[in-house]
Amino acid sequence: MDETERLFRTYHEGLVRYLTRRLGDRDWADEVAQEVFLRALRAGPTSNERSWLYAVATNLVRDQARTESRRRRHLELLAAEAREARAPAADEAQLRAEARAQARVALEVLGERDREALLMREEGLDYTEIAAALSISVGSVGTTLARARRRLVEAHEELVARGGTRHAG
Amino acid sequence: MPVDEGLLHAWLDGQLGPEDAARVEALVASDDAWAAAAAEARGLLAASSRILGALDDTPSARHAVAVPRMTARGLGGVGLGGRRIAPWWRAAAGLVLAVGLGAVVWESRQGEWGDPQVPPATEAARVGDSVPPPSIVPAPGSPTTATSAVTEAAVPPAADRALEARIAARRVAEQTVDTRASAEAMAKVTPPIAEQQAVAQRAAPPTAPPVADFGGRGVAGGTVAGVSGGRGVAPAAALALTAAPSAREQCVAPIDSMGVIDTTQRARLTSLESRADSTVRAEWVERAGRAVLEGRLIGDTLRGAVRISAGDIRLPMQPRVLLRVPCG
Repeated sequence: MDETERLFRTYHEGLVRYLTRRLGDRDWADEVAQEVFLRALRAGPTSNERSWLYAVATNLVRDQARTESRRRRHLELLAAEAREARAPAADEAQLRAEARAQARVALEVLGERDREALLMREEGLDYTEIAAALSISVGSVGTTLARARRRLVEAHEELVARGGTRHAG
Repeated sequence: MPVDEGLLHAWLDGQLGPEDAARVEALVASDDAWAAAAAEARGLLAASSRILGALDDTPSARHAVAVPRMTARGLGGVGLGGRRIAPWWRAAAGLVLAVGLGAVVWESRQGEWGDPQVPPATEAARVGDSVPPPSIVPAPGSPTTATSAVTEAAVPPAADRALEARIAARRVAEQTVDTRASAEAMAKVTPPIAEQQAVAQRAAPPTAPPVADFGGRGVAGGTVAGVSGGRGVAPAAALALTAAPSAREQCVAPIDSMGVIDTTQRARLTSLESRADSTVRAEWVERAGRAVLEGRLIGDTLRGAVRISAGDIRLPMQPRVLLRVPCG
């Protein structure tokens, strides 16, 4: 297995999952992940490849999040999910859609940095890698994650209690 | 000692060194407040993971957006909302777009994509009043290649395209005098572009593949070969397909999936093959290795999977656009 293949096999799945959770759009996540790996291939070896990959992915997401068309797509997805969630939960698919919509809205309540730190941690990045990817101190990662987790859970509980996906902020 | 929630989470995440971990462990074991906070933090960890897990079943947003657009165009002139688009309007829109894109191409060639090997007059002829008649050369056995030029979410909104076309059309009008004069001056030493293309097409093999000339986003040095509005192609897909003079004489500059052109990636196209099933296979050399793209031409985009030959990994590539530029 050469270096390229190792890089791909090691990080692709997690990176796409991170991006999917972050963006709420699997196609978009695939596109960003693709770009991240291309850049990695072009950049060559790095000292901390995982934090490098996630930092590049995060920066790409930030850049693109400013693009109006992307934002529109994202909002349309949110709207579609909200519509799905409002419908009676008659079957498993609808229940999943409702859970997804609630999770999405709860995640959007978080600040950008908290959200990214949390999603990176969920992908197994250690505190040093998260700090490197987000350009924050290692010592602040624990506090960031504690705040993010609490806020996420509280927002989610509030949504569940309301039985909908209205913004919990 | 007051509870430090960040420290607790770091401890639960296994991110503390041995000494710090032992200290927190002792506090949790001996202090009720720390014990309660630790229990709560464990719950938050588990709950947040469970909540985020629900996001993994995320559907594609592209489908939700693209389907109405595809349906509208697939109906051949029926706009969104069921409005019928008059053929003359489609043709006019296509003409405006083609002229605009030509102007964008012209301008961009004056900048970073300028190729000193191509005389300015030749470029002027391509953009100006010497544009050859429309030429659509679909892949062999695929008469619907052009009509299937349905773009998906990567295509800018129609309003944006129209605005870009209007701006570009104004620019080309401003440049017409200069470019015409240059074309006349250079005509004495340079054959007309139509003649060049005719020669090139005669030299090309019978199965010369279609190449998407890219005219959008203000870059690239390809040619805008004509307007296809009268052939059932949606105006948005007015970027014409032309027979490549010779695939091996072309270069491609892949742009990344976000529509950003990586100028460091002007790569040499080593192979371009059109297949009977209307798919296209392009191969070029990137810094990372040899790249192969197999897919279908949809508008100006060759959509498919790119495979980087280093390790022969099949990256799940999404849209890539091949820009035809002179090798240089």
